[in-house]
Amino acid sequence: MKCIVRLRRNLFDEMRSDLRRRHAHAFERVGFLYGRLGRAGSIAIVVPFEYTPVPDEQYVEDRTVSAMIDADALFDAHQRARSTGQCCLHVHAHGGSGGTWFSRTDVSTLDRIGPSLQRMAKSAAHGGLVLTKTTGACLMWLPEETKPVRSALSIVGFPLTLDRGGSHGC
Amino acid sequence: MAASSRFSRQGFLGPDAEDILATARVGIAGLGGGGSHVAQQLAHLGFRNFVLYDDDAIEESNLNRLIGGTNIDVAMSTPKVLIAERLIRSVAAPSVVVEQHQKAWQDDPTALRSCDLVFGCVDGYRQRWELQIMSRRFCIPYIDIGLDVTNAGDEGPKMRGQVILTVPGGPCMRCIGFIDDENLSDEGRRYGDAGIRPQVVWANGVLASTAVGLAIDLLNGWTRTVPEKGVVYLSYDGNTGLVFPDKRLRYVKSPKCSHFPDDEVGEPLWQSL
Amino acid sequence: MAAIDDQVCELARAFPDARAAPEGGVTYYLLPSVTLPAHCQPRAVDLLLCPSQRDGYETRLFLSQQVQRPPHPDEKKRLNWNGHARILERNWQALSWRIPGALSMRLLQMVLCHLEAFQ
Repeated sequence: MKCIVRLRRNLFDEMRSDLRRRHAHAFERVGFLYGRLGRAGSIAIVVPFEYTPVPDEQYVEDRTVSAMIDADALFDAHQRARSTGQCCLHVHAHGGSGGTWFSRTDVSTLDRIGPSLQRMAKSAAHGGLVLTKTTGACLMWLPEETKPVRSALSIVGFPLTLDRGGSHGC
Repeated sequence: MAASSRFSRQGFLGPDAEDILATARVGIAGLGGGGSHVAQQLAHLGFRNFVLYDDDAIEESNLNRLIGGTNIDVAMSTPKVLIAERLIRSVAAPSVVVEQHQKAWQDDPTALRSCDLVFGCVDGYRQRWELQIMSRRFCIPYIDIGLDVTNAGDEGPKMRGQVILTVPGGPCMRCIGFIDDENLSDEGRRYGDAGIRPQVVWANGVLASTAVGLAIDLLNGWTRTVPEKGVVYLSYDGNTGLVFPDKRLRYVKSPKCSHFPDDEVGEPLWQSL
Repeated sequence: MAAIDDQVCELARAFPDARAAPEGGVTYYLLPSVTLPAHCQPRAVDLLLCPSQRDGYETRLFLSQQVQRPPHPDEKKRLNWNGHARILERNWQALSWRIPGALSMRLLQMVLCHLEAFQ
């Protein structure tokens, strides 16, 4: 199954603005994005609608990684997915503009979070989103699929930014 | 990427424009007078991925305005989507993908949901509102065009049209006052019949061209401007030939939609009572 | 008018599988697989209640498909299907059936009054 994440531009701007904020000890910030799933035949369409930053006090001081969030932050995200059935995406940002991809550490993190969110809300899609100044990249675990897929990302607003690197192939 | 020779005259749109337009998957609901113009222009501009919906076939009365329609098509009752497909393929690159559906989009909306941008070239407020709802659920920018000619008695015919671009999160067609309970009810009382509306090719061309221009700017931002109120609502006065921002925009107070909550997206969320 | 929660509970007691969902500012009530009178074909359809003004009607009851039945001797009560709508990602059909004072009725009352069209 293929996947598109359609992210409203005002939500993209909101997340970028939040993730740019400095933290007392973490080198970068993390948040969670919640949304709902729709389908266009065999294509999963994820439409996020709410972003929740990880509160400052839920970061663990660890100089070996850019950011580490604590168990409470993960618990809150999992609880919300479980109680609402919403899609949940772990979000962080890279510097620069243009295309990007997840680092090895990012992938390792998502390899744990994605499947565990799936167990919380089986009918939704979950995964990770990494942003740059102009676009981003998504890795998604779709319902009933064990391997994640690279999802196309559209940023919807003025302007409309479409994913040209790995199209949803429709 | 430099513009290929085919698109060398639209190089001012930027070095990535050709790629951007080729990537976009565009849906057109209604391939009559307005939609056929839109399809033609998008093909010329370099769009390569089309989804077309119309359940109707061409008739003689369409020949005054249906771009690409011929006398033979009328004799053969060619479906409008096939005329549009033929038109697109006659100018687009050979790699163009045209998915045509000889049905109303409501009968199978799968392909429309997968589009990056949707043009509504349909009749009636109810049809437009249903397209608006679908585009909000699936987070798709929606461009609507329409034309009407009314008889103003001694003053003669008055030709008016609209081009509206709404994006998810921003004001919708209800927020800007284009659609309201009154006009939906009026139409409902007429059994949903939008009526046989006067239509002419030049006016459809103005509306379609304006709509396509908005689509290009939306996709590549070449004008480097953003609509102040987060929505574009242009009115066309066919009597004077002017296209201008509709005065109802001044009543739009918030850049946020008040009819579609942020979380009313994706498949409907049914709650047990 | 009784509080909406009370009306919703009453509707749920009559139709235990009933569900609700909002769209475009209106909350719709879905009543799955409701059995119609024996002279109707098909007998079981999904119903969707729109408890607010729509298409020139005070309230509207949509059906998942058009229903046939023998013509009513009273011409005014013959089935006249004039509402085709897409709501909550499904296509629905509705009759031309006016219920005076519908907006002041309870939800269950609205449904039952609409269903009188099939008696």
